[in-house]
Amino acid sequence: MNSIRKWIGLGTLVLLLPLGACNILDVESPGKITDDSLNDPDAFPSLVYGMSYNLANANDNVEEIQTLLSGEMWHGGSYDWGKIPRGIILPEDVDGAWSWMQQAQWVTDHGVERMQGVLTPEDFGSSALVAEAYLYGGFIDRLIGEVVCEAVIDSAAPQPNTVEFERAKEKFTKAIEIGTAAGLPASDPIILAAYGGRASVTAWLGDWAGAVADAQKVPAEFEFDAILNASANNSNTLAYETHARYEYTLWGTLFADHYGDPRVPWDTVFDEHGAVAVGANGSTPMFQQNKYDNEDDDIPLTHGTEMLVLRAEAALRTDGAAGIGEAIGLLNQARAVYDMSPLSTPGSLDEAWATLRYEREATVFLENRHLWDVRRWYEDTGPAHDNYLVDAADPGQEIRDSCIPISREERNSNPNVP
Amino acid sequence: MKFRRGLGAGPAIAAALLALAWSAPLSAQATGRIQGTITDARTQQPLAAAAVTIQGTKIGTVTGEDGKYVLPNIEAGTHTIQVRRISYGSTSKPVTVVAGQTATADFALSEVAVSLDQVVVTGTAVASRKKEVGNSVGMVNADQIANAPVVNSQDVLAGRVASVTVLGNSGQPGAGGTVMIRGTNTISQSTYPLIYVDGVRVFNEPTRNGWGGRNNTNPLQNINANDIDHVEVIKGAAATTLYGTEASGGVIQIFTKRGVSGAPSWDVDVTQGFNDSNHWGDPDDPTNLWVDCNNTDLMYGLNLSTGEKKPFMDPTCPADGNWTVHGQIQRYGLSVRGGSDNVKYFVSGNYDQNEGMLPTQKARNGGVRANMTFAPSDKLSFTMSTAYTKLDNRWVGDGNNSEGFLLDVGRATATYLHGGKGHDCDNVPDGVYCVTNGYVFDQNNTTGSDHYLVGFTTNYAPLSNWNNKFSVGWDYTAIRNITNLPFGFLDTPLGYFWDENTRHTKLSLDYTGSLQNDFGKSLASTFSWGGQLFRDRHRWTEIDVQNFAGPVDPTLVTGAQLTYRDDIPFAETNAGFFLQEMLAWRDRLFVTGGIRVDGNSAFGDNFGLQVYPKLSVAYALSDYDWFPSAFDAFKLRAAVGESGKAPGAFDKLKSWQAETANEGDPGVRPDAIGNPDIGPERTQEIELGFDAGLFQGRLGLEATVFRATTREALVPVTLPPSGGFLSSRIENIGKLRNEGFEAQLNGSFIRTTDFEWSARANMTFMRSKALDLGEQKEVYTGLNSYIKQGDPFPSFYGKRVLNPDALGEQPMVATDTIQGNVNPDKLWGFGTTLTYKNALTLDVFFEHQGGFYIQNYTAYQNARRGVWYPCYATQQKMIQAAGPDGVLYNDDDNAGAIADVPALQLARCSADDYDIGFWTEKGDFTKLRYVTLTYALPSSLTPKILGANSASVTLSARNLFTWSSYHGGDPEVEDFTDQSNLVGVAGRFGRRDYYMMPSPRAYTLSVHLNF
Repeated sequence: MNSIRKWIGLGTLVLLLPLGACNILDVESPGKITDDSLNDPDAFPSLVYGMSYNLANANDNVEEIQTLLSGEMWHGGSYDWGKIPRGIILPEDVDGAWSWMQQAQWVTDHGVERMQGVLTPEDFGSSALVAEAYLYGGFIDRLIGEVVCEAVIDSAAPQPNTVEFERAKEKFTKAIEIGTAAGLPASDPIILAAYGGRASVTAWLGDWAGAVADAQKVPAEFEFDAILNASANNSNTLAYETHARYEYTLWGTLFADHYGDPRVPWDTVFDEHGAVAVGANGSTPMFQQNKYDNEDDDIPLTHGTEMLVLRAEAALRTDGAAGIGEAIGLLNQARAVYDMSPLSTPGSLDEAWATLRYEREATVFLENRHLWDVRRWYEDTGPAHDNYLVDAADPGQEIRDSCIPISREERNSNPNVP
Repeated sequence: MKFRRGLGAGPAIAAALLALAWSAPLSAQATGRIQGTITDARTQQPLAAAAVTIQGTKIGTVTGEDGKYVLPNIEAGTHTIQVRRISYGSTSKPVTVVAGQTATADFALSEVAVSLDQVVVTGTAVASRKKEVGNSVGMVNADQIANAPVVNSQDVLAGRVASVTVLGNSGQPGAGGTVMIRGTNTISQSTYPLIYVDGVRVFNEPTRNGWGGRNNTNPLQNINANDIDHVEVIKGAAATTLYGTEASGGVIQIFTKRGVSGAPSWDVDVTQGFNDSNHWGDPDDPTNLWVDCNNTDLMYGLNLSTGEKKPFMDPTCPADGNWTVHGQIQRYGLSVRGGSDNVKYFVSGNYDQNEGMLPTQKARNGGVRANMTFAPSDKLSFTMSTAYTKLDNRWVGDGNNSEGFLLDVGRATATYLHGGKGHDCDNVPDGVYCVTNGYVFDQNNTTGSDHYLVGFTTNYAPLSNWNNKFSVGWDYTAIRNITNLPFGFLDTPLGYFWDENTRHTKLSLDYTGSLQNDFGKSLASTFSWGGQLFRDRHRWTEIDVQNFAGPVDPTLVTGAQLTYRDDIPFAETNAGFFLQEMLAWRDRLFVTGGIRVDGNSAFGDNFGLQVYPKLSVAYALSDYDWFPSAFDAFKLRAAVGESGKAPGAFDKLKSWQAETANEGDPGVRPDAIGNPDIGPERTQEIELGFDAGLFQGRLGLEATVFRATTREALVPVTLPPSGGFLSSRIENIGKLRNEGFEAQLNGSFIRTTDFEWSARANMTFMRSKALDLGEQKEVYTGLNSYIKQGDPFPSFYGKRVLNPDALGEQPMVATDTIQGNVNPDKLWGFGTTLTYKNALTLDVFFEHQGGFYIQNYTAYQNARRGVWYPCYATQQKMIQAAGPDGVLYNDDDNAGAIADVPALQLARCSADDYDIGFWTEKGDFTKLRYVTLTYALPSSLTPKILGANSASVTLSARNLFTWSSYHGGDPEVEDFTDQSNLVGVAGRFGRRDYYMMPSPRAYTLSVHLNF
């Protein structure tokens, strides 16, 4: 009897050892994409499309903060944005937006590195996919440079935000070079968008002549967007928050006095009794933006009319009062794209700058650009100077914040950030 | 004690399963028969469910409703018959069996508050007397719940076992609760205890019930209270070591009723009743949060700039001026048990329907259960347990949901449902806001749940001292949640349809063997060994579709816009084995030592097996003659042990997530950075206590102190966002402490032939501290709750008014301060029963949970919108005080206007400097859970009622009163959709009352018949 039991036990052990050695203890996780699997060149398109996704997501996530902080729209809702609507922004207010921007930057930087590590130098240098990756990298660097106070790149120590413009310029240049080597025509959207992106960051680095040279290559009707998709996990948040909900309004903004400008479409919302509807906070009149009235609506990253306005600004900066005529001409070319009547020529440089500032604000309305504009114009000591950042109710006392600080999460987790 | 490298999982599995083949041939013998009746010594009434065994053998049976038993095929000779029953003292006597004849042995049992002879099986490897067990075991038996208005096992546990927290979460009929044992001992993993039903492990996680219902389905809801024989609860690592890696949250084992020898015995239960709503919102709010929708004097909001009233009307308000209804409660149960000498069965079925306190709410719950035991010999038995439960619930929108009942009705002019359709608002005067909240009932949010459980258990005892038990279990849960705003819905006219499916399968193989030996008269040994393998498959999907072309019954293809949201499948395995030795000295001192070795698929690739040791001592001092005679029973006990909690299934993986890029291109983005070194967190617990029975069984007291230390706790470490991966990396770096005191008291203070007054109480005091969280010192766990090093955890943090009672003063606000515990740390339950002539029974039960805070988002959101009535007077004063610039606390202020207003009230009612911290309130509550009055019809009458053997009628009221300083409706509620929706993924701890429905009162009348 005992020997029978022993044999049964031994037999069971022999039978079960292979079971133990096999993968029964492995976790099965279909749907999870392992890091190693992305080293396959066949996966590179997904890697680059992912960069586009991240870029769009970053633009969408920054939009609410940028809009409230720069004053493009006013908070009329129920979300607790801290003091951002009053122009005061704290590290704990920006964890989400900061993180999405950082991830978008990381995926392009490391995605390009990954492709470079797998492809031959020849294939890498002549790949349209690589050119596209560089283009997305340029735009995310530019976004970060324009909205943050200090740049933090790949867990390193903080650097001046202008570092991002240098990185962006280099990437736009790579996109043009590699795209051209890949056989893309000069009219290809990747090439044109790279010129548009490079024009803007070149200007921000102070080379207005270089900026004009690039801007001239972009047709007036051209537009290149961060693509949002309501069917995916990447929809236009502003469209939802101003149409499905009444969180933000143009009431109390500069644009409330410019009803009818096709670049800044908005309408008053009325309730069932014909009274002006109020925002989700129950009190603020609802002037509803209609630039994004669908959650599928994309956010422009660069466009030809922006290039014309950029060239107009270059004319004023370069030639002063002598450049007013050229500037107004360029602005009118841009307005013509929107079927708007031409502007009359201002009588002074100050008036010309005021005109230019409004034209630029309207042209890039809700495109994540205005915060940078008010910042650089405020810091400008010449005729471009604008006092928006000073609280009109208490001049000289309180300065509105003009950039997104390093987030609380980054400060708490990155030992290189003091 | 752990093997990080080089020792793979294979040996563990092999060793675990090796024991499964350990068996031996059968043998059988029988020549006589013993029969008898077991009665209550005081009342002389027959006792059902008493266990009758022949000492020193595996031969035994259970009495039926008539208290009778039969033991067939007993070898001729003299045997000692032992009788045990929960709540009664055990007894035994010798009986001589003559071949071919029947011997009779009747027993009369006396009630005792504590019995050390009571048998427990949870956490002990083999069935053991309570006397032998070194840790506390919480128990609830069928007698305790026989008359209570409880529907399922979640209700059964609430308030009855020390250290078990059950929070109801929602007033919607059919909603599941939150269950915790001895608080929280994890930062990032599930806090839910393991659940066993008749020895088979089942899926133990609650599953959220969609965007509409915003509550959860809890597996404990699937076990009908009428089917429960008893429940055992072991609470901490000192007791759960043998369950290993997934058991540090405790173990709940539910035993359903079994068959007994004899003719079929039928039980019929019929219950009818109705729900009645409690007050909604602040108890001092006369508007009842506008659930009273026709009181024009109170129907206005406040313009927070001018102080003007903003009147509103609701033309969709019901004619009786109130949204609530008295929803019907119906419950039907039928069960039969019986059997022969070798085959015993129990079969039951039930159907419950609860229509809630709002129109369209309906929770239906039905199921069948069948337990069968076949014992071809006294050495071998086969048991099959199978159950199917179906839940079918329809929810009214609740919680943080723009179509939520209270979020719309309770928000007055800030409702999302306004303007109506067609001519709804024609009769609303100009200047009066037209709200049309009646459309909230057009939505069709449902949860359907199917739960199957099958378990086969074989017991084989080739020798009287050698026992083997092998179980195979299969547990399947499928839950489908629908949120449906149909075409034409007021604020979503094109319609919305959201479909979420959860499917979980758990396969379990479980073998346990034991060998008992005596070494002389004083020393005995019980050696146990066993192996278990659990395989879980889980899949969770959610998809939504919107913009329908017309009023069709929505499907996933009839809408114009389909959004694919998520699909998360995974499978994981836990396998291991244990060894345990118990040494008994003179049947008084019991020392038990054991180890558990586990492998788990969620462990990192660089991580091997995990070893958990245990040691316990139980010392029955009352067996000594010198011990004070007032004690019928007294046992000292001490236990130390470890168990663990596995990481989430994906925590070890570095992975990317698929996303739809551009207009449909496949893209990827970083998901989780993973941790290949990850292992389980290990909780080591020490508990000391005693069980005492005094004064001829009239008083029982059990008390325990415990201290649990969780090392290598899984801490989500925040990585720099600039490093690309936005999710945390889970690392074994934390150290947590949980400690407390728990006591259970049972007393029978008056006990005569005709009258008995008894009471039972339990109380628990707990405290926790996060000892070490690594360099980051704090972990955010959602909704302003954090775990911070050096503080109790999880706790709410945020703004707090330092001068709350100062009249007319500007609130002094501290930021980022600790506010208090998220979960209760003081629990008590108190029940008392009066019985007259064993026929009329009054049962009253109170429950208290204290030491915790809850976020009153209802008040917070309403106050800053000018629709929180209790703030109106204050807000009028604040407007008056603010002066011309509209800003308080300036030079131009008319400060006198707020001179009599406390600073906390000013902070809470401010429309400018609002913060949820001001509305994070003490949630302590005491509830009169139920009062029942039961009348058992005299035996002379019962045959006239359809020939019944016995009959009783019970009148019950549930949730009659709540005592609490909370300013919301019910401090027990929680918007469950705030929590993680995924099994095995780090959860969140914060709880908030975000326009959640409070629990209703329920009144029922039940009839029970036995045939």
